[in-house]
Amino acid sequence: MRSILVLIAFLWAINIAYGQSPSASIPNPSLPTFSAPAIQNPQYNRLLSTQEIQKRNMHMIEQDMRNHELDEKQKQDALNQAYKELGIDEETDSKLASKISHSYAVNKAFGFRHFEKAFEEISGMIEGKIPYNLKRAVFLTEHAYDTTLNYERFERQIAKLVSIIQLEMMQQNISPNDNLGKIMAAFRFMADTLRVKNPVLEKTITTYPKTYDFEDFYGMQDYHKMFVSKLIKTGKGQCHSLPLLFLILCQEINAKAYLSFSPEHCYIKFKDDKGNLNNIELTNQMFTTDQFVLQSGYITSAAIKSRIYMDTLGLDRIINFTLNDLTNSYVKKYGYDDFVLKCSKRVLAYDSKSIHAYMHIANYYNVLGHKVETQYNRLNIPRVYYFSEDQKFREIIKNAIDYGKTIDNLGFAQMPPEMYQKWLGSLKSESMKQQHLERRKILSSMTEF
Amino acid sequence: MRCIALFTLVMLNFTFAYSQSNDNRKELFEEAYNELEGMLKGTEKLSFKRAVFVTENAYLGGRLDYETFNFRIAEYADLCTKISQQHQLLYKESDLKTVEKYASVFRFMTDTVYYLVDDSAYFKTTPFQYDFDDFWGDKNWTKMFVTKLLDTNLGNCHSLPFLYKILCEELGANAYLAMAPNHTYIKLYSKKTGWFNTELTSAYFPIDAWIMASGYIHLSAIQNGIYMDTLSQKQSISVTVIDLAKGYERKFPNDIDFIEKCADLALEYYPFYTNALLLKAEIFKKRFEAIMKKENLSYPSQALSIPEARTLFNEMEKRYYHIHTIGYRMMPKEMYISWLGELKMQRDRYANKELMMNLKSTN
Repeated sequence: MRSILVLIAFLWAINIAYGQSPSASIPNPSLPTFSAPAIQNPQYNRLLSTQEIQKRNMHMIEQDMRNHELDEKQKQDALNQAYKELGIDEETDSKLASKISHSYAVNKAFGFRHFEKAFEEISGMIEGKIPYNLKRAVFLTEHAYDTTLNYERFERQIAKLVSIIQLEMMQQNISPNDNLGKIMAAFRFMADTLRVKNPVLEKTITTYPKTYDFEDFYGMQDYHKMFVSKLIKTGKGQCHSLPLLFLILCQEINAKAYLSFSPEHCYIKFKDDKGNLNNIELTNQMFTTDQFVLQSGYITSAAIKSRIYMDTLGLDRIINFTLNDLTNSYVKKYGYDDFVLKCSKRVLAYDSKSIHAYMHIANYYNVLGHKVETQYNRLNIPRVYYFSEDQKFREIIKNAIDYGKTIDNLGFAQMPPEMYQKWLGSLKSESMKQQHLERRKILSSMTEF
Repeated sequence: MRCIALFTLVMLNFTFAYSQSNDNRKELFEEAYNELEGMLKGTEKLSFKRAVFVTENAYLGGRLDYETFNFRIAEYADLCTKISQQHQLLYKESDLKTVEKYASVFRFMTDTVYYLVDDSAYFKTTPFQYDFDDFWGDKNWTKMFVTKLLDTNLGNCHSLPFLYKILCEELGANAYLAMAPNHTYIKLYSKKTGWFNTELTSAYFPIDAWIMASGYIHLSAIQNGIYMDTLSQKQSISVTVIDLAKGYERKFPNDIDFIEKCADLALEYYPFYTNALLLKAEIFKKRFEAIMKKENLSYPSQALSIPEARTLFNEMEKRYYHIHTIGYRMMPKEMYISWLGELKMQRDRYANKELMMNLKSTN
């Protein structure tokens, strides 16, 4: 009997223990106790009472309003003073307005018609009136800048390069339906020394890699450095001409490749047989990863999300992009005027993600604002006057600021040239080379089967 | 005989007590859910502080006290104000007041700060530190909690940014959470430098390239806004809803309905929240497994002949595929820690130099 009692007592004890703290198995973070800052003076926590705070706030608001009124008064005084000195009243006001020009007339120099023609033709392609032809579009932008270039010659040169790639494809038994095979053949043409036999002429043709031209790679001194025609002539190009030539060749052999941007740079993207996107960096003739592009350090997540960088541009958007090149050439030749605005608006109408076009427009308004300001300066009219009275001028300044903001919001970042060089140079490191070789091996093995 | 009767009585008592406490706990979770739902639907006041408190209180079985928690946050916020008065910034834009708040909370959380009360007295705050033990809360879910952080001064990538956000909001400034694979950090805006990242686990301001360099961010994940985008207030609340569901899952692994309810609510306000999407896919997996268990099957392929199981399986596959296509990649633990460490090793490479120039203080 005693043993039973003991058992009961025991179970009862368990029950009580368990019932009281059902969460015995749960980790036990105790109630927050006051521990973190070691406080030596207990007086520190004297909070202001609500009344005190309200009083203080009211005082601050009053102070602000007084300051504001004072500012306004000073501004108005300065304005009146300036008007008095210059003798400006409403009558002269209207006279003055006729003296100042608020826009740019388009420069109708002799060469202008080439730009106009190029613009018309490329717009025609974008609107679908003329079939897409990247070769022609690129040629037009270059021809507008340098009218000595000849389209027949350019076409012939491209055709020659294409025939070499086609011979290479024949010798490697690549079927004309194999997109990856064709891209690899075009890549070999750009990156390797190719030896192909011409069966008709019975002679061997040798081509050499198209290398990077380190001299003046932004085309600051000589704008021709940016041109595909220069690349074909010398075998040396930079991050603008090399991808464009590659894309032209791809269009000629009916292969599908894409263009992609990163700060101050562009490169090629293409799909392999598994549908994954791969990158080609033609300045170093390497296959790179997205990580490499990101590691430049100048790409923000906002830029990727708004798709101004690292997006894939198909043929239509690439042709649209050539209009930006045309604008560039125009600015280089004649400076900013309404043609720049027209061109850039045309680009944005088709592709609202074109950061280059936004930049052209922002620059245009900045330059225009500066021009109006110089005119006033010449007439010795103070800043206060035209910043407050001239509506058209205010409109221009507002536009300049708005477009600047848009560019910031899209996530644009300026990359200094020396950082750009350093970043491209990082491709030469062993690990990058290893990555490239592995990727190339995989891609080549895909084409064999 | 008597002894048996007594024994059964005792056992009954025992089970009754236990089940009642379980019901209480479920009720707490339900209450928390209703409050969060109210915040999202607009019937209750949006408060991130309150949302965090409710989720943690539900998991801890109602042992926390909101007044104490509130008092503590107010206390810390007050300290931050005092710190900002003593350490002035060399920053001269119109949003100086906001930036000062950001800077003072950052200083308070990551640095040892001495504050002079008068000539003879001062007090000292010690920084919150990273807890390398069980930092994803696999063994102990309370490791993720802000209340745990307040108690021990040790936190992780979940509790530290949460506390930062709570303190900033207490001071009247906005701070935004941002997601990276298995990681949370803070994004802030200043007029001079634009958006910048604040990393509390290593007390640093890294550039975006560091987060992308984790290697587990697919390009499309950023394009879709899954990662590295600022979360709105409602999205932040959705994050706590999923935390609530995860806590519930630990307590009652077999009760799927509540978890599904939470996942649906979170996805309604934050459709690209990967943790919610994963949870939802897991639910289908669990249902499928339940059918397997019921039919006594040992291989999934055997269950596929059952139409109900088949639809569940297809649904699950569809969801996992969706998660993959929008760019989610699972990051292993070892990689995560080495990536966090990289920020300390390669400070120069990933530093936001422009920001450091602008946010210098006078002392």
